[in-house]
Amino acid sequence: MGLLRFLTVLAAFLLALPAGVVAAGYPSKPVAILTAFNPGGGSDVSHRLLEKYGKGVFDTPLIITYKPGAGGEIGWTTLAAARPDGYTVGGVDLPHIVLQPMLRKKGQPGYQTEDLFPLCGLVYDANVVMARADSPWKTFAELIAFARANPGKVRVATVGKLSGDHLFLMQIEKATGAKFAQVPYAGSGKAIPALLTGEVDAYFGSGSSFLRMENTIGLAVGTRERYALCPDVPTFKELGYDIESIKFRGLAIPRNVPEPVRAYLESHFARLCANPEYQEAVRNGGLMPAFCSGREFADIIAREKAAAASLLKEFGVIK
Amino acid sequence: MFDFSTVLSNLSDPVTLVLMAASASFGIVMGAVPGLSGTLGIALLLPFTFGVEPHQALLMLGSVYCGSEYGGSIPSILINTPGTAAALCTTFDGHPMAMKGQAQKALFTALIASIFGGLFGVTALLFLSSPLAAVSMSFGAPEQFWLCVFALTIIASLSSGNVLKGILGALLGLLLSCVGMDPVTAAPRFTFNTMELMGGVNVVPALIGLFAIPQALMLLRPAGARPPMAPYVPAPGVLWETIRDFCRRIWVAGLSGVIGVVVGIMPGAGGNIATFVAYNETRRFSRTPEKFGTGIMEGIMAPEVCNNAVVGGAQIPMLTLGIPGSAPAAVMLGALMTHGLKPGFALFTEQADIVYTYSVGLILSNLMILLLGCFFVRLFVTALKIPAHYLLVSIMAMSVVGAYSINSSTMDVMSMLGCGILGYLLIRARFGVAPLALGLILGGTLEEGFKLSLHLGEAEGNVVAFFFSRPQSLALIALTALSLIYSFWKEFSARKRAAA
Repeated sequence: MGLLRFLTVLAAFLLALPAGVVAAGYPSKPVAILTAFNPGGGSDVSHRLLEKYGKGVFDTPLIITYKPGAGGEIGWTTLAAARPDGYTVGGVDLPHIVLQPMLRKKGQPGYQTEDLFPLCGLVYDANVVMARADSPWKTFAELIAFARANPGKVRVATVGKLSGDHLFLMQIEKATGAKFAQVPYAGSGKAIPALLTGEVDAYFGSGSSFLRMENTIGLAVGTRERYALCPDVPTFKELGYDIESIKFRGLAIPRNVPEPVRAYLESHFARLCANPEYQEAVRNGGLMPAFCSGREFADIIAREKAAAASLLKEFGVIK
Repeated sequence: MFDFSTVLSNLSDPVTLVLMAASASFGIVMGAVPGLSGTLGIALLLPFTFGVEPHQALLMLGSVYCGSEYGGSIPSILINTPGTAAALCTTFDGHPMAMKGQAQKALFTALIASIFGGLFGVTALLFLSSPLAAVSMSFGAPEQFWLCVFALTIIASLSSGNVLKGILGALLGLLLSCVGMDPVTAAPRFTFNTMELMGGVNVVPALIGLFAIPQALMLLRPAGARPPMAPYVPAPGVLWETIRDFCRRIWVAGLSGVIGVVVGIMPGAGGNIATFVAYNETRRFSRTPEKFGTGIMEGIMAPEVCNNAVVGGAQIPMLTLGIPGSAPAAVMLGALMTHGLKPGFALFTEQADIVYTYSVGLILSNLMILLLGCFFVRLFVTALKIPAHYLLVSIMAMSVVGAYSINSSTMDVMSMLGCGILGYLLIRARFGVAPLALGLILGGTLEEGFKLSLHLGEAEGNVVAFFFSRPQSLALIALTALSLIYSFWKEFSARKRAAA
């Protein structure tokens, strides 16, 4: 064991030399990417791509560690409490990491949003209003007109309750005055068949789900400009509604990681994300590669937090 | 259509074959070690496939999946501990058969049944994927609920003679499955304001606890009590005898294969539920239902054919629609996307070479597992020669390591130990642990189907009508009712006969 570790350290050291020596021997062992969801989910695929394209960029391998459970709470609480040595990096999703601490029952322990130090933003996933190609409404205006005339009759799938999709639904209800019957599914793997079979009439959720489906139409997309992955779908702005709704995925580290280590991680992930092959693979998975620095990611988190808080207050979910 | 010569040349590449054989062996071991599973095996192997061609990568991962479904049966038979949740039903007859001194026959039965099931599922995947994908789309939330209710009727067969204890056990299991976050609203339940209980009682560590720990504790009991360890009786020529007996009971394999494929294609059901249904149905159609649970071949064939047929079935919606039909299929889906393949019907035309190489290759990997299995059976059966006191320690150690390795969580180890003590008490009180395990496995899926149906029914305006009016649901309700009436009638006539 001792010899093995010595050799690993030595190998890592030799490899690290050309890249510039950082923080006295960091990294000397693989860096773990903590995934707060089950293998096979959307987060897992994003992280596997980092693992795949991280070869040759990082001095030591990136490895995936799963810590699933309770919609990410367990993984993120583990991340917040991990040793701040730079060997544990966690994938974090927005708006999950601002919603969970906000909605947590009093007395229930768990991480706070501020415990997760933003390392960098990786990708985003625009929210889309989806319907079947053979559904009676072909435009967002038709859907809203019908829903206003028949409040609570249009069944809308979302992934989760008080989740990103649910916020998206609230935004639409608030802006249009329509009222929908929400059906919260446990994951997109359940919501997609529900839409395709007609169990629900529409699905307000991730564009990555939309891009995976055949015979569906997008009625509106939550990006400011047209979304490059589905350029035919009009934005809410074009339709006259002030709605923007996007889910972000990024990386975070525990607080108090030494600055050189943080800088090493940030700059290397920046290099990884600049690889066009990586970006192509991300787009293939239905996500938009959008690297941003830790500081920018922190701004996004703060913005999302404020937006979610005001929306939830308006709907009387929190005080 | 695809180019058959490309498929053949892909599959005759020796490197591919070696990779497949290695992956299949890895899969068998992952399945055979309680706690490790196919899902974990696929996830662990995935990074090693980045360097190879996509079709090789898929074949490696597919071989792990097939291998693990077979491997799960080995500890079920030898030490009465299911290697994977889907191998739970294999303990019902597999272990009693081993106790009768026919461990080798039981293992060969499981092997042949697994291969038959695997080939059955792959055949469905190759030739029927588009009609079956359409079938998979006709199952909705209420059917998910009713299928679980149907699977619960197996309690009546499991606890023959003491249905009340069976029902109590299952209720306890359902109650345990409620711990943690509500699957639909995410509200915490029974968490006592701790982080650890938020994730609930994980099924796999609980199964290890319920089955392995009582087994180890039984080994500790003083001599004179019934030996809990199966004897080691080498039996040359048993393979041919098993094949002959298997062919005589081929109807069991056919029935279980169909059940495996059908339940496999249902999103969110998977092998765990399918094996219960297959075991129960086989028992119902058998001419000697009273012999089930005493160690007969049919009782091993049904679950083993079924859980391997699920492999093919679960990949139909995964490849054609991007919707996984089981937990390992979900990881396979992730692997597919990491390798730049986009699931959908287009996959079968645009990437036909890869998809058909993969599907045809799965046939090959099943045949490899058959060969590997013949070797592994001879190896594993010697475990019975290990003296009880060594075996006891290794079962305990493996249980702890297995429970921890799933999510590297100490909470899982604690729940494994808790379930172990509970399991021992239940067995001593003659309750049996199977109904509890059944409740725990089905609980989450059952509840999710129920709650989603409530939401949907409310939107329709009539919740009750929503549950009872869909033709697919009615079919499942009718099956459930028939199953219950049949078992009560059996019980009743058995009592009458006993009284006479």
